[in-house]
Amino acid sequence: MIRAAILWTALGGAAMACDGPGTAMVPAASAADSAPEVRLAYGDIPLSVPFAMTVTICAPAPGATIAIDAIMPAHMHGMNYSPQITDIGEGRFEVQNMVFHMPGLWEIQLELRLDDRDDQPLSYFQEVSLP
Amino acid sequence: MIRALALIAALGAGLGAALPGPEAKAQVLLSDDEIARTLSFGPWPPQIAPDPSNRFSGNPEAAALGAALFADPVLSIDGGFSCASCHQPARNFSSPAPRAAGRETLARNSPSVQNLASLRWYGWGGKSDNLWAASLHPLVAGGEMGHSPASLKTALLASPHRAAAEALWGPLPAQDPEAVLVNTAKTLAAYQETLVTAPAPFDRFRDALAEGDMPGAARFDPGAQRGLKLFLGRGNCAVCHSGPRFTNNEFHDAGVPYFLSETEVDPGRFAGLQSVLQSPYTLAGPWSDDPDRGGAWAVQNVRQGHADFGTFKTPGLRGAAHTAPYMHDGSLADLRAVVQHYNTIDLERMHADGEAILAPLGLSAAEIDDLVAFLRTLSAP
Repeated sequence: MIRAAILWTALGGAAMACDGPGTAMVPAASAADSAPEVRLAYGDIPLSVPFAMTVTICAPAPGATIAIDAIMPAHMHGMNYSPQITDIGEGRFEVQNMVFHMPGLWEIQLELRLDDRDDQPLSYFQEVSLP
Repeated sequence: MIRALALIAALGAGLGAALPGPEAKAQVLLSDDEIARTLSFGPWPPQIAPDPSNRFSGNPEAAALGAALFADPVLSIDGGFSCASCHQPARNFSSPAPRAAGRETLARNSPSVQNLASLRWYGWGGKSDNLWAASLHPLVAGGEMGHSPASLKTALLASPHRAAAEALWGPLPAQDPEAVLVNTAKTLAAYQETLVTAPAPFDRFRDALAEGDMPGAARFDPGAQRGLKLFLGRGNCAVCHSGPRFTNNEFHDAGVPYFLSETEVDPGRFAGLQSVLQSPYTLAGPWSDDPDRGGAWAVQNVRQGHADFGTFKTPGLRGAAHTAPYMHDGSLADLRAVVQHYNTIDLERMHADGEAILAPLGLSAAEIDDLVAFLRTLSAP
């Protein structure tokens, strides 16, 4: 198993924090002041083998939905499989079938839709370096 | 930082004590990071559990029958050739012909059928998500073995394999021809999953590193060590050739032309996906023996896109020294030609909207020698 080195930038501004597992994702600059904190938790990431993640929305979020994906910016490609997302309640989501099929820098991308902001999703990012 | 551990030979008294032997200069040339990455290519062979989708997997009687069927022309409609005609045991279960010669010359090279257990995809285009389906398709492909399920059943009923087959599969006359086809394929898979390349010189190096035996590791050929450094670094080889089998089991555009003629192309993964997504012979389908449908996540969640066009599966590199020629179309005659291909790759041949991984490597002739020397260490003599 390969230990992923997680690179993330601390949130600033008024984002709501919580004690959910994992580390905070970086909100897109346009939404950084108002976006709730979103935390992403996962264990060791094996190369080219499916792994799972847990997403925690650090705010009351009834009806919230997420979309999640990942790309390798340097290689101009994404994942070969669609992740499966399951709402497990209380603002938490389980994500399965994430597969990083190459070593290198991956960028996990998340879009959050809140009930009261259904016009534009809030975007978040987190970089993961797979040796 | 280069770890340069001189091997201090245990020298005896006399002349030897004054003049160290040549092994005293041997070194492990890899950095700590390179050593850590090298460990990911083993151990070898891997521990592999039986395939739950194939009720004959791990069954010695099935493997024995599969070996007999593999070598018997009864599996081709005209009795003209067997699986072993293209997947030749004496050539690590590959063929020296650039393109497979079935009942017609096919578009692709016959890959080795060693080290196939528990892969995610099979075939250059990933037409199958399991080994028994990969064994089934050639039996009924018109250009390959050319059987129909009915003709295969008839041939097996009249063959000397009938008793052994019925001992495993049940009475043949009452079986639906499609069930006979699937049972034949699963029995062939039970044999092929036993075909594993022997540990190679690289494995002795890797295992010595894993054990912290630097003097032992230092005996690995310096040229091959330099080649490994290129494999991990400037060569970018390990980006796709990863893990103990030296493949990420996915599909890439390696810059090899996919035009078969002025009017024909080999769609590669694009066609493979179309085939597997319509196939009843997948891990998600009714012919899987696994009630939990393990492994079906891949075929159920795989993405399709036009960038799949002209991409082909990353081949594993174990035993590769004995499986020339190379690439999906067998167009490169030897390992040096493969390295030279990547050294001067023509980016004009790549998808304009595809992944951006490859670039001409610019290796010197000596570096090409080193990389080839490393690749050769992945094959047992």
